Amino acid sequence: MSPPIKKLLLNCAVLLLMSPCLFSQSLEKINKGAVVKYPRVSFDGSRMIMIANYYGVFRPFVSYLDKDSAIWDDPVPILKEVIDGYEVRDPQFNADNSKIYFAGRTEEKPDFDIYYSTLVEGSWTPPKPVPFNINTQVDELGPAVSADEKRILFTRPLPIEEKAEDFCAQLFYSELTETGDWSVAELLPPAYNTGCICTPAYSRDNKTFYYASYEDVSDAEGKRMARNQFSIFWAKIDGLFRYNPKPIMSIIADSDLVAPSVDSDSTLYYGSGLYTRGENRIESLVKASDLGKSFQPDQTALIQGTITSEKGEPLNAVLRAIDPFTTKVYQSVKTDQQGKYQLFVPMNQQYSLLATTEGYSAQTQIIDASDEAVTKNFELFPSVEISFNVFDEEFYFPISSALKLLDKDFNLISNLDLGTGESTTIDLGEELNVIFTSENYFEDTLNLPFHEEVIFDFFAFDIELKRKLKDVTLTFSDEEGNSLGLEVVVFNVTRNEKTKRSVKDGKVTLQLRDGEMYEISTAAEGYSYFSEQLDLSDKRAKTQIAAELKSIKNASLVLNNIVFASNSYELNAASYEELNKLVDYLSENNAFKVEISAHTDDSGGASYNLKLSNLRANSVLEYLQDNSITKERLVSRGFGEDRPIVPNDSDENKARNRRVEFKILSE
Amino acid sequence: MNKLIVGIWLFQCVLLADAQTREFKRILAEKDAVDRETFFQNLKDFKVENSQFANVYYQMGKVELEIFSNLDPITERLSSRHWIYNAKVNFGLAKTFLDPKEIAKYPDWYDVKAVNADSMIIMGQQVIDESYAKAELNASAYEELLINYDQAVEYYLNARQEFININTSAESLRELFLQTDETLKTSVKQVGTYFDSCIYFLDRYREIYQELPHVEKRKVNINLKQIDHFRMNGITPVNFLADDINLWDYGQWSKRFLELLREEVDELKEEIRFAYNYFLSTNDRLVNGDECIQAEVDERKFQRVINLIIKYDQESVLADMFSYLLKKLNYGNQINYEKNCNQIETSLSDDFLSRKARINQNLYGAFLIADSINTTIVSPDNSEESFMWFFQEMLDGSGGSKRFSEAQHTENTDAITSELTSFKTHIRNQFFETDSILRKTYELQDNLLVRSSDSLQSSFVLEKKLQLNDTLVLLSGSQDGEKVIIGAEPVELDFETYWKFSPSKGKSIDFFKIVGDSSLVIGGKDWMSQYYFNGKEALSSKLPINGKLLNVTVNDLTSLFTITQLVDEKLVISECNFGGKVLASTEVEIEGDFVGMFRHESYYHVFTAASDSSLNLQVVGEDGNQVRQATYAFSSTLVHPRIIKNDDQWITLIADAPNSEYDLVYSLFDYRGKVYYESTF
Repeated sequence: MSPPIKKLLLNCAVLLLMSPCLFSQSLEKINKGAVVKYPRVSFDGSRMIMIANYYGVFRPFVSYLDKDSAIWDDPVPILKEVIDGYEVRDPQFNADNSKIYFAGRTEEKPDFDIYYSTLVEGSWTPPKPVPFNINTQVDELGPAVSADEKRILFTRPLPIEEKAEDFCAQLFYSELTETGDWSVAELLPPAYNTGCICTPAYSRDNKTFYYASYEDVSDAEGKRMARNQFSIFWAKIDGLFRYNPKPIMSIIADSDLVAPSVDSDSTLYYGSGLYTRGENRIESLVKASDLGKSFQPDQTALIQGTITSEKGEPLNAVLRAIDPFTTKVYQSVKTDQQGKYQLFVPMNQQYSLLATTEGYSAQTQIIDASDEAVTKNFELFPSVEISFNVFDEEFYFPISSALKLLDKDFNLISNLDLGTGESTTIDLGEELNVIFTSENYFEDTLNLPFHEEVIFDFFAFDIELKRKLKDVTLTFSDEEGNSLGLEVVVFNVTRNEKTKRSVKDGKVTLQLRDGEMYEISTAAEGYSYFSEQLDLSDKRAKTQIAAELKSIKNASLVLNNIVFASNSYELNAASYEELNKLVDYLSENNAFKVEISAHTDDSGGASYNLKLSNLRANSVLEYLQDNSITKERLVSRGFGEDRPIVPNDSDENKARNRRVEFKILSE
Repeated sequence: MNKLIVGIWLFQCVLLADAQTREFKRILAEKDAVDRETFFQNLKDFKVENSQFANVYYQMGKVELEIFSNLDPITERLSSRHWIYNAKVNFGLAKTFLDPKEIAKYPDWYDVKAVNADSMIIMGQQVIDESYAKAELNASAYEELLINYDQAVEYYLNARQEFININTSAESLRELFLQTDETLKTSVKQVGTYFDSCIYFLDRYREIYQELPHVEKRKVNINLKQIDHFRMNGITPVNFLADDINLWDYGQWSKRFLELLREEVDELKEEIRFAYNYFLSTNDRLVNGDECIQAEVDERKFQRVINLIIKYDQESVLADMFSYLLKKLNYGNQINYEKNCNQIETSLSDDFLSRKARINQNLYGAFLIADSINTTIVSPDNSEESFMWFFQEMLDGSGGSKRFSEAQHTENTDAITSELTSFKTHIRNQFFETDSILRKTYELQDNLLVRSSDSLQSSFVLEKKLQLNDTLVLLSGSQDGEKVIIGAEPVELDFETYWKFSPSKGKSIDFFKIVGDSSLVIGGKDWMSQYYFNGKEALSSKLPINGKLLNVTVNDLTSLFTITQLVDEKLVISECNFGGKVLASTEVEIEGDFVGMFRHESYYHVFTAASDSSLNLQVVGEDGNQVRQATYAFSSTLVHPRIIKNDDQWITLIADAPNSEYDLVYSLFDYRGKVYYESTF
C-alpha cells in the first residue's frame, strides 16, 4: 500500500470518530493567518496558486502538495521577478503548469486585462496579454482557461445601469474556432448570468466549470440555504449542450464561498471568507471538499511522459493529441525543460499522440485512454542507421553492389561505399532514393520516405537484384541435317546448378545468366555425347550453337587426350580430365553399357601391339570402374594395329591411329 | 346574449387565426430575405405561441434537415445528431398536427402544387409522411454511418498497431523470419483480418453516405498503398476524412507475408528437415552399411538450402553444416563405392596397389574436403542462435553443432583409416608380411598338402596364411623346423584338391612377392622361382649374382623381370626374360636402407631411408647413371615405410607410426621431393 493511501486511511480512521471523512489534505500551512484570496489548484492537483499577504503585501504564492504526507507545503512566492507594477488577481496554472494566466492591471493600463506568463528554462517570462482578443477597456477578471487551452471563461462588469456591487460581474465565454481564431466573447445566457458572478474555473474535462454566484439558494424543499452571499455553482458547456448551473449545497456556510477549483481527484478547493461583507473583504481561507458525483467533471485521463533524444536528452518538442477518427488535434502541448509533457483527455477514447520537433523524426503512438494516468515516452532521433543486404534474386547469394544516394528528384547526392551488412547514418527530413547497380544485374531503386514519420532508427534492407539474362539458341541435328528432339543438360558451372530442358524440333532458346559459365551437354538416345562450354563473361561468347550429333549405332567415338607413356599401359594424369568427362557422361546415362577399345599404330610387332592395346583398354576400364562406373557396364578390347582410321604413312596419321574409343553397346 | 358572446369569441378566434396565418405568412415571405438562423428563430418564436401549428414544424424540420445536410457528418457529429433528431421530431409533430384543410388552403406551405383540394390534401399528407419517414431513415442511417465509419477507423488502427508491433519485434525481416512462430503467424493473419474488416466498414460507410442528404459529400475513394519494405512502409497514419483515403494495404501485406512465411520459413524448415534426415539415413548406409548404394546428391537442393540459410544469417553454423553434408555425402559415396561396389578381381600385384593408391588418393582428397569443412562448424564465429529449432529438434539443443562435428570427424577418420589400413594390409600381403600366428599341421602326400592330425611328426607347420583369390588361401610355414615352404588350401574346406606342393627345393625362402595377376615369386639368396596360383611352376632360375633379393617386378607387356638385389651395399638391378636369362644389369650405390623402387618410363626410382623421417629418391637410368635425386622430409617417424607409385604425378607412402596412438602414416608426394600431404591415422 502506498504511503499516501495509508495516510489517507489513517486520517479517515481518526476522522471517522468525529466527522465524516471528506478530504485528507492538510491546508494548515496555507491557512496560517494571512489573507488568502483566489486560490486555485492546478489541473493535476500538484500545486495551488493564490494571492496572499503572508509578508504584508498581496502577491502571488504557490504551494506544493507533498503527496506522501498529503500536506500542502508552505506557500512560496511566484512570478515575483516579473510582476512588479502589476496588481494580480485570479491566477491560474495551465494543464502542464508551464503557464500562468491571471488578471492584472498596471498604472499604464488601469483596467484589469488577462495576461499570461510562461516558464522558460526555469524562469517565468514577463506577462503578455493573452491573444484571445478579449481584453477591452473594462475589467476582465477571473480568467478560466480550459485544460486544452481552447476555451476561456472570464468576467466583465455588469452594465452601469444595473448598479451592481463592484464585486459583481457577468460571465463571458470564448473558444478557439476551426480557423484558429478566438470567437467573439459571448455573454453567457441568463441561466448562467443570474446577476452577480465571479471567479469561474474550468475543470480538466474542458466542459465542466465552477464559479461563485451572489444569489439566494434554496434547497429542494424550498428552504433557503444562502442569502446575500456567494455560493459555489457547478455548470457545464459541452458543444451545443449547455447544462444549467446547480449550487453545491453541501458546502454552503455562513461565509462567502468563492474561487472554486478542482484537482485531478475531484477535490474542490475554494476560498471562504466574508468576501462581500468584511472590510476589505479579508478573512479569506482556503477550504477543500470532495465533490459529490453529480458535480464531478467528466472522467479524464492524464497523459504524460517524456520526449527525449535517443541519448535520453530532453527535447523541446510538441506533443499533439489527435482524434484518430477525425484527425482533429484535441490538444497540443510543449515539453518542459526535462522533456516532460502532460495533458488531460477524456477517458475511454483513443488518441493518436504525435511527437514532433525540428530536425528529428516525428512519431505517432496510439493510446487508449482507459486509465486515469497513461505514460507514453517518446525517443526521437535526427538520423537513422541503414544497411543493405543485396542478394541474387534467384540464388540468394550476397552480391556486391554500387550504391548511389539520390534526392527525391533523382539527383545524385553521394555514392555510398557500403559492403554487405555495413551500415551508414542518414539524416531524416528529406525523401531519398538509393539505386543499386551491379554488373550483369538489372538496377533496382529503393525509395526512402524519410520526409515522413519515422518510428524506427535502424533499417536493414534486403534487396534482391535480378540477373540479366542472355538468349542462347541451340539447334541439334543429325548427320543428315534432320532436327532432333532431345533433352539438354544445362549446367551452370559458376553456380554449380544443373537443369534439364527438353528440345523439340531441334531448337531451343535458353535464357542464361549473363556473365556466368555454362556447360551445355546432351546425350540423346542413339547419338553421340555433345558438350560445349559457354563463358558468358566473354562478351564475344556465342549465342547460337548448332550441334550435329553423330549416330552412335555401330560408330565409335574417339576419346581425345588419352595419353600413355610409350610402351606403357599406365595412364598419364593428363588423361584424367577427358576420362572424367566420360565418367560424368556415363553417370548421367546410367543405363548405357560401353565398350572401351584401344588401338595402336603399326610400329612394333602385331602381337605386342595387340597386348599393349588390350592392357591400355583395360587401364581405361579400370579408371572408369574406380570412378563409380560399375564393371558390369564396361567392356574393354584391344585391337592392336588392326583397325587404323587413317593409313600409317606419317607421324601425324600414326598419332591419329593411336587412340582410345568408346562405343555405346546397349541401354 | 350568449350567441353574441359566442359570436364575439368566434370573431376573435377568426381574428386570432387570421393574425396567426398572417404572421406565419410573413415569416415564410421573409425566408429568403433573412439569413437561415433568423428564419429559424422566427419559426421557433412562432412555434412558442402556436404549438399546434403543423406547418411551422414542417418548416422547422426542413431547416433542420438543411442544417444537418450542410454539416460534416464525422467531425460535427454532436450537431449532426442534434439537427437530424430535431428534424425527425418536428416532422413528426407536423404529422401529428396536420390539418388537411390547411393543406388545401395553403398547398405551397407543403410544397404541393395547387390542383384540386382532395389531391392536394393527399399530396400534402404524403409530403409530411415522406418527410417524417425520410428523416427517421436519415437519423437511423446517420447512426449507421457513424458506426461503420468508426468501425472502419478502429479496425484500421488495430491493423496498423498490430503491424507496428510486428515490425518492432525484430530489427529486420530476416531476423523476424528467424524467430517466427505460430504467434507471429496469428498476428499477421490478425492484421489481414482487421484490414478486411476496415475495408468492409469503409464500403458500408461509403454506401450509407450516398444515401444521406449531405450537400457536399466526400468522395471516399480508397487508394491502397503497397507495403514494400519492412519497417519503412505502413507506418504513417491515414487521413480518413480526405476524398482520397490512402490506406496502407495491410490486407495484401498480410497475405503476402503469410505466403512468404510459408515459402521461406515453413518450406525452408521442411527442406532443412528433409535434407538432414536424408543425410542421416543415407550417411549411415553409406559409411556403415555393407550394400552397394550411391546416394543421389542433389547439389542444387542442398545449395538452395545453404543459400537461404546464409540469406537469413551469414553466421549461422547451419550453413556450414549443410555445406559439410554435401561434401560428406560425396565422401560417403566414394567410401561406399570402394568398399561395397568396386569389386576388383585381381591379385596383389604392383598394378593393383597402384590402382588402390589412386583410389585412396581420391578418397583421401574427399576426406580432406569433408573434414576441413567439418572443422569450420566449430569456428567461434559460427552461431547457433538462428535456426535454433534445428539444434533443438535434431541435435539435442545448443552445442549440437560441435557434438555433430566431433562425431563426424571421428566417423570420417575411422572410414579413411579403415581403408588405408586395408591398403597397408594389401601392401604387406604382397610380400606375405601377415601377422598371422597359426599352428596348423599338414602332411605332404604326393606333392599335396593334406590336413593332418596335430600329432603327426615331421609335418608342415603353417605359420602364415593369405587369401589369394576366391578359392585359394596361400599358406606359409616350415617343415621340420627349418624349411620354409609354400602351400595352399581351398577357401572351402570341402574343396577336394589342395594346391600342388611347390617345394622350395630344400632351400630356405627369404623372399616372397605377388608379382602379377596370378603369379608369385619366391626366392632365396641365389635363386628365384615363379609360380602361378594354380601351383604350376612358371620358371625357376638361378640369380645372376649372390645377394639379398629385395624386389622383383614383372612387366606383363615386355615379359621381363626386374630383379633388385643387395650386394655389398650396392643395388644390382637386373632385367631378365621369362626364361631366366639376364638381359642387362645395373649397379646403383645407395645410402641407407632400401625402402622400395619402381620403374617410371625408362628410369629406376629407388627409395632409401635417409633418416627416421625422411626418404631419398635416386632416379637412375638404364645405363646406371643417376640422373637426379630428391629428399622427402616427413613430420612423422616412419616405421616399415612402403612406397607405391600412383601415376606419373603422385607417389604414396604408407608406414607404421611409432606412436601407439596412431596406426599408420599416410603421405602423398611428387617426383621432385615435395611432400604435399601427410597424415597419421
